[in-house]
Amino acid sequence: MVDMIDKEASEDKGSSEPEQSAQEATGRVRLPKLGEILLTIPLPGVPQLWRGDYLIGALLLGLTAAGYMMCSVTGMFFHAIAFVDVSITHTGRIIKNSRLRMFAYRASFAIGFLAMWELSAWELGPKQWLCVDPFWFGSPLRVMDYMVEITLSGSLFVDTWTTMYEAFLGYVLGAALGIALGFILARLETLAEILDPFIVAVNGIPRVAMAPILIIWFGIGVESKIVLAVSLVLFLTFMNTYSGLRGVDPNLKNLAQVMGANEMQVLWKVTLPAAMPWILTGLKIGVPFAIIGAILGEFMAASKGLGFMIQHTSNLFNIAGSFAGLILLMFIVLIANAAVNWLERYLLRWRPKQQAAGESATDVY
Amino acid sequence: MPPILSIKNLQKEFFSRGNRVLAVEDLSLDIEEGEFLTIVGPSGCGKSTLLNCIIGLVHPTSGVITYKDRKLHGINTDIGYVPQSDYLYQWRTLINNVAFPLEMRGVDQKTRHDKARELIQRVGLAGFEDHYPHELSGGMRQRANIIRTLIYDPEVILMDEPFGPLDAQTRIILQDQLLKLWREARKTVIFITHDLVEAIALADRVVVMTSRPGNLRSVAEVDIPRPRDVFTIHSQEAFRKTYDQLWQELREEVQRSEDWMKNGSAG
Ligand SMILES: Nc1ncnc2c1ncn2[C@@H]1O[C@H](COP(=O)(O)OP(=O)(O)OP(=O)(O)O)[C@@H](O)[C@H]1O
Ligand SMILES: [Mg+2]
Repeated sequence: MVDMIDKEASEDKGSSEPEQSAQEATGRVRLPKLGEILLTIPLPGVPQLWRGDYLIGALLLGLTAAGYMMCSVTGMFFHAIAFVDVSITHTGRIIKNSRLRMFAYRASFAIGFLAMWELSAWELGPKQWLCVDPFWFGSPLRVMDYMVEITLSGSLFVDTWTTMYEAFLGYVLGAALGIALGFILARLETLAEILDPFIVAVNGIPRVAMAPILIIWFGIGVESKIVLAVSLVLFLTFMNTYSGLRGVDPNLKNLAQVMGANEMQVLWKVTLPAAMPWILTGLKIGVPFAIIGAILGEFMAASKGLGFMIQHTSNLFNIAGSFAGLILLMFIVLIANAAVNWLERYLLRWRPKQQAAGESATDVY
Repeated sequence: MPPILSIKNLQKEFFSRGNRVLAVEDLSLDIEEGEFLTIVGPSGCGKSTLLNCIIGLVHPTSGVITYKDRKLHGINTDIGYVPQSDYLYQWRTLINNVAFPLEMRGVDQKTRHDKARELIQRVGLAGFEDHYPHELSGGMRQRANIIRTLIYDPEVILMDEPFGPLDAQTRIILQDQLLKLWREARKTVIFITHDLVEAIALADRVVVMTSRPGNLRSVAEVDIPRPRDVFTIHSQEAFRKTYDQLWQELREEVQRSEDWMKNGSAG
């Protein structure tokens, strides 16, 4: 697998130019639809005979023309996108594959990983053949089983909803307070200076250490979890908003005044948009912390929520159950990140593409 | 006719890192309405400081600036300012950058966009209305920087080396466009440059400033008839005479300022 990726990657460089023009010619690149027959055309200049996948494609479909330009007709979506550069569907659409290919690699990585996990848990004879005991490590099918079970019993929905609710409310409240505080202190310099050491000190307290007190104060319901999430998100968004606002070039503001802006207009039309990249960075970093806050609270004392579920199942040595909780958490984080990334892309659409591309490289598709 | 702007005994000192820097010393100057005045002088002689005092971004240490017989206090929005480097708002498209001053004055979107579009067309930027500043070239941004000030029709326009970072060809084209715009609008313009050719080609009067602390070294009338052709003006006899005379003075001041730097004296 790794070998193949390497080879493809190095070939990619050689053929990147024609690919680009193919993309230009078609404008947009889209996924082929189900049922479309793909005619795949490897680009010239690449030692295609080494590609074993073509032999498989030929055997399976019984049609491959040999020659400098090699074509294969395939109904196999995976084959069509994973190993070739440009595909044409029978309706005449041209599909550039480099992105599809990355998708295929990722999909096969995930499938391979799950398959190995599952296989290693199989019992052959009296002993585990890979010494991986599913008692300790679970297995994908067991996790699935458990998911089905809790879906039917309804607890999956209740736990997921509870955690999402706590994290979301904590996030929104924390972010709103943090941004507001950032604006206020950026305005009142003396106050900011007075409070600075206290803010640093309070922010330095590990939240785990605060959790017991918060539970005494706010009870074992959702409130204490929301407060924990708020306490984490607030500082992050505050710090970023504050330094973003302070960092705005004073010339930008002065010039706005010269051009006739009043103080409110300077704030809304110049300072805020200029500080927006920093504010959004705070909002982005805040997402996982909101969830950490909620889970942390649930670990301490709770009767529902994914944190409660994970702890509860692991107390019973139900590893598959714990994994189910982790997977659900992972999905919550992915969705939340996607939402914030979308917000960022929309609000910062004025930024140079390069910058935007550099950041989206870390995005999860 | 009384001068539109009058500067009397202007003095400005800065204190930074325990040093006292006298940027402008006892400078007096009257500017007539509708006049195109250019200022040249060695780098760091206080030209930008002078402009900043006039628009009110910097408070003079002493001295009085009157605008139409009113003493100036703080920012005066009758005076437009084109800064030394373009401070276009990166998050606004070209048209929204140009229309910014009208937006601040509560003009409705259609009117302000119509006006912005007209100016954008006049300086040859049509088609780029919806581009963001980073998608424009340096010359395009500088044009936008200038028409953004023209759009709200200030009585006086201050320009701080507006063509400074541009290449020679673009400069000449923009000088030509600026003269055309000025001929139509007849605004009072104070224009800083470090290029003596540019200073003479554009101006009614050229001010040469001394090395720091900045003061007037000389003020020269340029009697080259208008409309002028900036592409050929330097071959005219009247131009050459003014140029030779001013270059002599400017060189002395630049030399003096260089000597100061070499001797490491800060004030
Ligand atoms: N905000 C400030 N604080 C301290 N000193 C300053 C400040 N602004 C300007 N100065 C000093 O005042 C002097 C004049 O500065 P100014 O910017 O007016 O020069 P300039 O003639 O515009 O130069 P250039 O042609 O290089 O733009 C300089 O020596 C500078 O160090
Ligand atoms: Mg300057």
